[in-house]
Amino acid sequence: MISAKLKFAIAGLVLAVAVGYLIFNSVSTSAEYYMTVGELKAKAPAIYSQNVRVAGLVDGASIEKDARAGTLKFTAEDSSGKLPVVYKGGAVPDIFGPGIQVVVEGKYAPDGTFQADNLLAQCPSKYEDSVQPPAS
Amino acid sequence: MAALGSISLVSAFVLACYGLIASVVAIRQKLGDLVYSARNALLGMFGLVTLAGLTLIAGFLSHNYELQYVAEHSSNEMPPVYVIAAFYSGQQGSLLYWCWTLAIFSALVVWLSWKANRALMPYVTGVLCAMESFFLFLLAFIQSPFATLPFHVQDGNGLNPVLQDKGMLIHPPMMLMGYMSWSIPFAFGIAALLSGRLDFQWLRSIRRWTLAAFCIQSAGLILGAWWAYHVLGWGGYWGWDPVENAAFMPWLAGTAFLHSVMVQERRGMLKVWNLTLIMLAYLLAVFGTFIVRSGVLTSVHAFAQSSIGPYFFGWLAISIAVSVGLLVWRLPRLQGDSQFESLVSREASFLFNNWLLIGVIVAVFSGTVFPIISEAVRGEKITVGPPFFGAVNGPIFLALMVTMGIGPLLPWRRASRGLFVRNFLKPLSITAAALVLMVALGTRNPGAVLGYTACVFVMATLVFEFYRGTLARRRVTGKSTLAALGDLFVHHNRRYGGYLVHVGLVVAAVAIVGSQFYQLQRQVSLEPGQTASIGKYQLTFQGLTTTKDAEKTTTSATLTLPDGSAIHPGKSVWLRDDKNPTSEIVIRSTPFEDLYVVLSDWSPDKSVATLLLFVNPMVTWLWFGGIIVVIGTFVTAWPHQSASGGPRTAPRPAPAVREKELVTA
Repeated sequence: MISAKLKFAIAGLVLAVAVGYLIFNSVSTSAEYYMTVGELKAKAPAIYSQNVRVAGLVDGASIEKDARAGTLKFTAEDSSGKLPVVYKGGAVPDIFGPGIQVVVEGKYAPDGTFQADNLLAQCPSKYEDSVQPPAS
Repeated sequence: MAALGSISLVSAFVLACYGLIASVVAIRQKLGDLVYSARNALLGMFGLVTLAGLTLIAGFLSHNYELQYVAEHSSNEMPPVYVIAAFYSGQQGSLLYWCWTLAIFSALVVWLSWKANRALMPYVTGVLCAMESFFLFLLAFIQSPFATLPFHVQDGNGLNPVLQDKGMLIHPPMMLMGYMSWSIPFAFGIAALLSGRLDFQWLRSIRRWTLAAFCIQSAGLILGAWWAYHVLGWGGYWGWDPVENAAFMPWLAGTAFLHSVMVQERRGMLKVWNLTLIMLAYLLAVFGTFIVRSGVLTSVHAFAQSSIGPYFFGWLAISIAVSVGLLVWRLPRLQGDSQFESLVSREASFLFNNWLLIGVIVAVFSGTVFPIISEAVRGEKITVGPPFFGAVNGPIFLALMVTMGIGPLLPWRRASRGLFVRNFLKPLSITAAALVLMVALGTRNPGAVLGYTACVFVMATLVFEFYRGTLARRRVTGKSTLAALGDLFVHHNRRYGGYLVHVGLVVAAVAIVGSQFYQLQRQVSLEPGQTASIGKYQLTFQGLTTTKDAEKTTTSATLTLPDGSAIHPGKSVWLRDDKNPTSEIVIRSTPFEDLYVVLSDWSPDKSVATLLLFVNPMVTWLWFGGIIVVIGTFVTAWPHQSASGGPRTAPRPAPAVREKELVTA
């Protein structure tokens, strides 16, 4: 007869291993690299097959919308470079626009464009807006 | 006004510090009078924080732009309710809100729980004063909501239009109060450890406080989901964003505590575990506040990187050190009175439920902090998104559902085989029948089949519990079936209120499984006259119209359905703030699915509109489930009326008898 204590220890161990396995397994399938534009370009071509996230500011002059085809093209830039983005994913955040900080998720393509399947915009925080003195 | 606010905060800080020191001295020197002095300091602090809070509200309502915080977060033409809501829309105000609600709860604690816990209260008072002194230090000296502008402005910046929604009036205050409310059980836990009074008394005192925290945070979470779904326009209600995760984790720890505490009450076991859980709930709440405010993690929620991150980190470190230190110090006094006897028993099922909830916490925590850890370890920032959380938590949630079905039907100590068969034969038969029916009807998605099977199983066990309880009650009292069922909620409210919470969770699970596995989504670009279909819906685009009013310009699409009705999803650009347009989402709810339409974009000549179409099955059930959870929590927390009348004071008498009565009924 196995003691109750041992049974509980075994049950706990099984559970811990199962949760650990789930975490480990899911990380390896859903991990995405979070990179700057410069890092992304430096890692080509090895990075082509990998899902990545890149953050950048939207260059206002570059925005091209094609409502008919449902595509959105723009250039995201950060201090390390510029990245042309093609987005066909669907939802464009309400606040998307020139100078907005966005995060794109997708794959870097051999033609030098970033094929995004997800587009997130960071809300321009009200907290950071300082009140300006009235213009005299 | 600025002076009044600042002086109240500084004075409140001084009183909180005095309350802390007086408590320590009173305890060490055994000075009874000083205990009352500390209590009065706490009450005075409550009065002063209230004064500061009211001052800020008055500042907002009188558009006093001398106050920088008021100028940054409100404007002249904002409706008054949103002007008041702007109170907690920024860093300083939300800190003051937290501090204020904690002061209110602290005052309630010394008012309501003083008599029952005379020995503990000096310690509790001291811990509460320590917590308040931390917040008041930040508010008085680091991030004052009463800082003034060096120049005069005619109008303020106003509030982000997306926040000017009725959800803003209730979700953030509920959520912040939810975080805060874990402080009270934590304070009692620390007090119990410090005083060495580790019997069951302190746990009994915090039962309602913990239930209050559970209730407030459940409501905050469900309101957050509701707001995201109805306002933000991405078709979902939960995105495993760091801020959402941060709010979810204390709730999980608190839920685990509410279950395992029953094991200590009945069998005197799991003492260390219970203390650990209640401390974990508070520490996770502080951790959540820290990651949200410090800018360590990127989130879609707009919290600025701010200077208070390090202070919160320091407070978190101190809280962890104190909790762990005290726990280790008191370990010899925390031996269990009895031992687990069988894997198939009520207490074992509570333990499994706890382990699973901890598993969810570990998964959510590791997914949330993964970018930080991977950057530290490998120099690469790796994020894990919603698929990670779904893949890990899906199976654990399923296992939790199963324990939720099995646990309440198991007796304490050990279950005999005969009892096991008696209790589970019917629910399992129903579950098997439902499983066969589902597959026969063509449900093939394994996740959905398992999820709904678990829902049916839990629901079946709950229905049988209510059924047997009602029959037993009817036989004993001779009342009608309906009155007997009502009696269960009145005289056994703890148990059946808890079951009601379970019912709410099953209803919510039905929604989550349905929308997780059967959501339809498509993006279409339509010219006038063209028709798009999604699910059973056919939408014909008629054209775009633009309307203007004093505040905003709204562009709406007109879409007609075959039954002749029309919907008008649109997008509004606000005059004050043209960088933050808001979506006017159309949601057509039916009991079994929502049609959810967002106008995403249109061509400059307005000849083409891009629309996002979703069909979200069962989502309405989520809101009902949430409401049932809150009601169930109220029922279970209601002052107990024993069958003979009068509140219960002694521990539950001879529970085994009642158990048997229910089983044989």
